[in-house]
Amino acid sequence: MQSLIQNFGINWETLASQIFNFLVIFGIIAFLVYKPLAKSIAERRKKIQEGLDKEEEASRRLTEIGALESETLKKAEEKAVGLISQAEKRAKEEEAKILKETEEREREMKEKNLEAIQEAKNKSIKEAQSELATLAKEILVKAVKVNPHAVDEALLKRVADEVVKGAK
Amino acid sequence: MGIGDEISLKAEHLFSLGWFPVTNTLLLSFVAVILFVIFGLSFRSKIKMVPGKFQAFFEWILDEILNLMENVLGNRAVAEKYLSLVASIFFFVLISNWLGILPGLSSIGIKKGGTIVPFFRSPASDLNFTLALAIVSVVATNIIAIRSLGIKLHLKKFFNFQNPIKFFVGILELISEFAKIVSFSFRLFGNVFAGEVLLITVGALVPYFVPMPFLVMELFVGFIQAFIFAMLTIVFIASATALEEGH
Repeated sequence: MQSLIQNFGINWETLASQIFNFLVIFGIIAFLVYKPLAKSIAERRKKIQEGLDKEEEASRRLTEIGALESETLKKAEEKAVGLISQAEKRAKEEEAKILKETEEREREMKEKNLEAIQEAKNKSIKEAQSELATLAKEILVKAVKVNPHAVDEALLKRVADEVVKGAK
Repeated sequence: MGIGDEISLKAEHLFSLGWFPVTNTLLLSFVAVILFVIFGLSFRSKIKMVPGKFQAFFEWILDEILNLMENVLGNRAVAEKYLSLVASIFFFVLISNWLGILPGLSSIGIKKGGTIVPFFRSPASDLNFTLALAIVSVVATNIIAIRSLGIKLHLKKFFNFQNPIKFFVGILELISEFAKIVSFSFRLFGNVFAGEVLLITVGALVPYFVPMPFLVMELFVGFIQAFIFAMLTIVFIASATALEEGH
């Protein structure tokens, strides 16, 4: 054993300093290289994950907005259609009302006209009656002048009535 | 160094700082540490959320090591916990090996007697370096085992008095821990030392062109040995953190 150590030149000083060298390198790799590197990788991973999450949310929001848009459009269209149909309905009602009013007025006017015509007719009939009566009186008078005994007051009346009846 | 010269098993002693002897392998190991310090400091200040090519490259390497560890350990969190240890072992051995085969490195040195004693020599061609790493690996494995299983359960692996068979198995386990240190250290030492000898010999026989494939091969060996060292450490961590070892 002693000769082995001697032949290979093993000594505590070199051995210890080589172990020390290793520990220095271990410290460098652990604390100067790996630790900050792992930190930066973890940070990067987090950032990338965040970015992906945000992107996902954005696309989700976009689809939501699209749905909202089409919904709003649909609603607006429905409203418009409703408004138009309502307007149409009202227009029709108005039309019907106007028509009815017009009709009524026409009828009223017709009635009034008819009345006026009737009145005028009655009036003219009355006038004609009185004229006729006068005319008949004159005829009778002339007839009496020709033959005064044949006529009296009662007969006159009877003749006038008969004349009126005849005129009607 | 001529072909007739003796190739020393032990690292050549260069000078002493007081009582502290400095060998050429230790010196190159210091160079590696300095390189790591420079790299670490410059890397830390350059870490960004959006990685550049440089950072992306190291992230990729660490991720590959993590994937490998995850495959063996079966858990990403555990793999991340022990990544620093495994990565340090891997990169220390790798950089040491590659620094050691830099051409021309062994020709710079001080003349002692008839031969040149180079300033730098591959750290892993000195048993001190490999033994140090083996001790670190085995001790770290045991610490990890104690931390994940508790000291009672861990000691029970080695000292079990339930029955004679378990007692004997425990003794074997204890021996195997030391066998691990020996196999770890001699495997790396043997490979790198053999590579050194091979390069010196080939270089001395045919100095031009012929050593090139051997250099490439030594680059590969340097990587493979670093990989094996790290991989075995992962495997030992896996068996240390497993609750019951199957026998």
